[in-house]
Amino acid sequence: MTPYSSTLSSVLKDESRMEGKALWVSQPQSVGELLDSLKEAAEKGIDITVQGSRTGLAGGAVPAGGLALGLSKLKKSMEIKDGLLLASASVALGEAKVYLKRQRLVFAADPSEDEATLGGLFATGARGLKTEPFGRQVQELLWALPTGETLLARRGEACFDSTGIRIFNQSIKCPVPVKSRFPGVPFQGQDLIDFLSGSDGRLGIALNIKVKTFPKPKNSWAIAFFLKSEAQALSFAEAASDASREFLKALWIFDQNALSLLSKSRASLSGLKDIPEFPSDSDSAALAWLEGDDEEGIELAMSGLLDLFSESGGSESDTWAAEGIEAEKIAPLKHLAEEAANMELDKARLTSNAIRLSIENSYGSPIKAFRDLGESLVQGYRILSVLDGRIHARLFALQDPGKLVLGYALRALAEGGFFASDYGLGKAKRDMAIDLASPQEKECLMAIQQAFDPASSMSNRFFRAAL
Amino acid sequence: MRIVVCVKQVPSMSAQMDPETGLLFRASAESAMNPLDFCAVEAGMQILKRHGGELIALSMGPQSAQETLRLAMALGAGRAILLSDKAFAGADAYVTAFTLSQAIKAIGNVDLVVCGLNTTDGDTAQVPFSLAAQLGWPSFGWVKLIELEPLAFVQEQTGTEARAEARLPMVIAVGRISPPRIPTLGAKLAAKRKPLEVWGLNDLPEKSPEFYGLRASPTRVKKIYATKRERKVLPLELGLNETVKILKGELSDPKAFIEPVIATPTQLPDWNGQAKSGSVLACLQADHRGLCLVSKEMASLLISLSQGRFETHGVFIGSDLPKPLEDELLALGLDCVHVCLDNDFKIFDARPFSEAALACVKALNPAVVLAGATPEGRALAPALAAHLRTGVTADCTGLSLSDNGELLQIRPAFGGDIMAQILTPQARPQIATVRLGAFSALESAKRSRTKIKRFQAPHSQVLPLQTLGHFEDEPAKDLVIAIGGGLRDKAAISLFEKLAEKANASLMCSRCLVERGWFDQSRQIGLSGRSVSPKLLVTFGISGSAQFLSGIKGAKRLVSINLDKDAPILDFADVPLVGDMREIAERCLEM
Repeated sequence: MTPYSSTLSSVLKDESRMEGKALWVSQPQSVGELLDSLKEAAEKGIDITVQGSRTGLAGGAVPAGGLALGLSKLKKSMEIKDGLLLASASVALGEAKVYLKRQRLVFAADPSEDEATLGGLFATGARGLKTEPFGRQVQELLWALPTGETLLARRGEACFDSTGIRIFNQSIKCPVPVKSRFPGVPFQGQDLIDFLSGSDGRLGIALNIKVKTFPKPKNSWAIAFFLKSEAQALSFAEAASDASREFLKALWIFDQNALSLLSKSRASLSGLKDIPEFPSDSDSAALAWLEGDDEEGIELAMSGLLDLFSESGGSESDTWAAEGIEAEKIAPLKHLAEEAANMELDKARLTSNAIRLSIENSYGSPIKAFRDLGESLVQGYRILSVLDGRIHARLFALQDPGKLVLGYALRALAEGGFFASDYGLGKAKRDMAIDLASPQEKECLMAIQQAFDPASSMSNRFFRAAL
Repeated sequence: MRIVVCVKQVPSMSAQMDPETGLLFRASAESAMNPLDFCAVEAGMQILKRHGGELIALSMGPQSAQETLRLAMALGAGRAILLSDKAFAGADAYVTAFTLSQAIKAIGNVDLVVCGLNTTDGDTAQVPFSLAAQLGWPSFGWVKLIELEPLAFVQEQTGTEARAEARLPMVIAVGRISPPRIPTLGAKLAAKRKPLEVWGLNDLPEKSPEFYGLRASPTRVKKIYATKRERKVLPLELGLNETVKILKGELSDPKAFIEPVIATPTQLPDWNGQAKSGSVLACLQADHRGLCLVSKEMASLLISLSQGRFETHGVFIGSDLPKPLEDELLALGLDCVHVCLDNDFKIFDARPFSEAALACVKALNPAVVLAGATPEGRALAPALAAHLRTGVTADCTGLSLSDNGELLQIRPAFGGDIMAQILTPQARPQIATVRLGAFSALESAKRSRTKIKRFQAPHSQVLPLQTLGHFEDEPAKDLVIAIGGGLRDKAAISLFEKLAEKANASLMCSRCLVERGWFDQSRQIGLSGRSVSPKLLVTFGISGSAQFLSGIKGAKRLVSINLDKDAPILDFADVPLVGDMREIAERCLEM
């Protein structure tokens, strides 16, 4: 641990564009050094903020005083064994994907920020284009506890029941709800590994993971469908999500503002250089990802999608289709929209809360929520993952974004959905989560925090103050 | 109009080569259509839409290349032909062009052939020009714009742009034009069911296998090897202020520069050659400002390579020879410069220029011919080689000439992690292109001995050409700042422009920023751009591919900033700094 100096100012920020403060900085190069830093911080009562590549959008890596503990310099290792990737958590997603690609393997989950570390993806519960969260594929986990001790978790060995969970040879007693509504609150039957994924660096740090890999599907397709109205797009999405489920792994809807933002960013954003202009008069678009080994089946599914698209008012000439390696040109459109949004914000140099808040919940009635949100947005864009009800909305220049975000959080929870389903709570959503938590959920959070982090060095002021 | 678009399946990621044969293991990598071939198909489709007719996609490769042809059909090609036969395997650029020319003859009544300028695997940019020469057609490369009515093309040349109206039949080679279309879903599905023709040796007019494949290829890969990295200094992971302090010191204190050493061509061990010939020749080039620097560098290179063992010659083709240019030719120190002047040679046109160069080569019978790796030289060399049935090694970074006149040619390949040693064992002359800055121009003491001889050469009719104005291709300053893929946001370029202005530096870039369309190619450093030899080169966010590194061999001091401490460029840098390029530049401007 070294005292913070202005020469290390980059540790104060992440991709959320929030800026925090730090008194200490540590960038350990070995697990031993990392554990020493944790012990020292716990002994001295120093708050810790864990940082991977600082690519998160919810401010989880923004320090709030105390120690900024960077993991990017930890030694990296990767190995494939029995279909599992054994990797140190400091490995970047892009590095892991290239490593797997050489062996014609892929992750089932597909988060799209290649600079993000595997540890960061695990900690934030990141998902990508497809519906599967990255953490759900982790089979074994070496976890550093805030005390500086380590815990080896294997999938299936420890799960929450209604009264808590048994780990570290002790029982953590708490009233576990049947269904979780927030990252960090467990649910009955949840595996310890899934619970730790999404804990946002509050309960410890992933050191090594064993994650499932799969043979690269023989066929993979990205298809963009452009429509003249949002109503047509939603109608198509509803119909498409009911069909083709065997091969359809992702289906996203982009609103007009998202398309406009992408068009506007064409000259500046490298990922858009091979993307032609969107078809004229496009108001909304649907982006589908299909994969599988059955070539005939997948082609049949695509023909079915094309029929549904026509029935929804779409014209075949307003589609783009790419397969295999070419599909990687179109598939990142969702991620590129996020990058384009950040570029806009950088240009505008906006610093208000408006830029820090986004809606990325999952909803029981996603299409209705998506439509309603369009009516209440002043400025911003919406993207919807139709298959699992996730909506991403970035809000620009709103006077009171918190109210809108809170409203949609309540709605997601009322519909049995999930609050902050993609980027984690970070610093941006933590207070709102605590405000929304029930007494039972708070009790659960406290009991788990006490067991994992008795010195409150990692769960820091967030829980200390709020609970 | 019958249009043929040549497309190639290329490895999309790190490829492996067979160290025995020097050939690519295609099975080891995923494959894709060559990126510029998308532009070729797009160009073909735009022309087809205006002028009507038929578009045929043509490829040579293994059966798996059918996927690339099906993609071309999904993009609009009405017919697709794959040239696939064991006899075709291992072809170099000359023989590939020969095989394609045979197919084009077999197709018959072709008006226009459209190629992508270069491919990502070989990156030689030879095939379109060799193909045109072997068909006896005009060619027009480096096309950046297509005018549809009347059909005309605009190309980049050294220091200028030229426009040519189409004279069919002809071959064009397109660079990056507007983003190519993406096929519709219906077209993709339909293309899977369309018939695709596979042609073998017996489908071509020339049926003798001796004209095809590796056995007919004039050039051979003698050896390939991975580029070795030896770390000069451990990367410095300092704080922002300390990093900026070091950088500012480097930028402002000329005493910190290592004294420049006069660079000489890469010294390579001699090896035993077989053939003998008494002269070597450089194809010299001038633009509106005078003799091009690359021509001076080639002259120095020839003098250095020959070491008095061979006569050194130059050939200059142009419309006039003003006194200043004549003086420059005399100052090259070559034994003789052969000058062919004709009003037709006002603007470069590959076919007539290569025919004039051919006349000189036939008269001289040199062992080696060099051309600059400029748009003109890279079109002239393969066209000349096609006339002579010999090969070209493009963009050499090392050359060695044996007593017997055999040229060992070294160039990076396959993303630059591999270097290839290439020979032209039988065919003569051995032709190579060299890039601006790859070798240094030296002052010659032989000025008084240089002779100028004039000659006339029969040539084909030139294309209807016009220049579209000159642009000043500013020579790089003593201090060059280069930025690369680490730059995520185009808006941040202004930051580095300010830094360059403040430091009185030239601002240049790596290839990926040109590909993103953020910089003009004239500012690109590297194998497919230009070489630089500044006293100080500062790179920001450039990882350091071998292609880029081959363009900075002449830099006297290298300061590199990269967020990734494992970036290859940090191994080569005199001052390797680990840090965020944007933050460092911002702070540098503030301080």
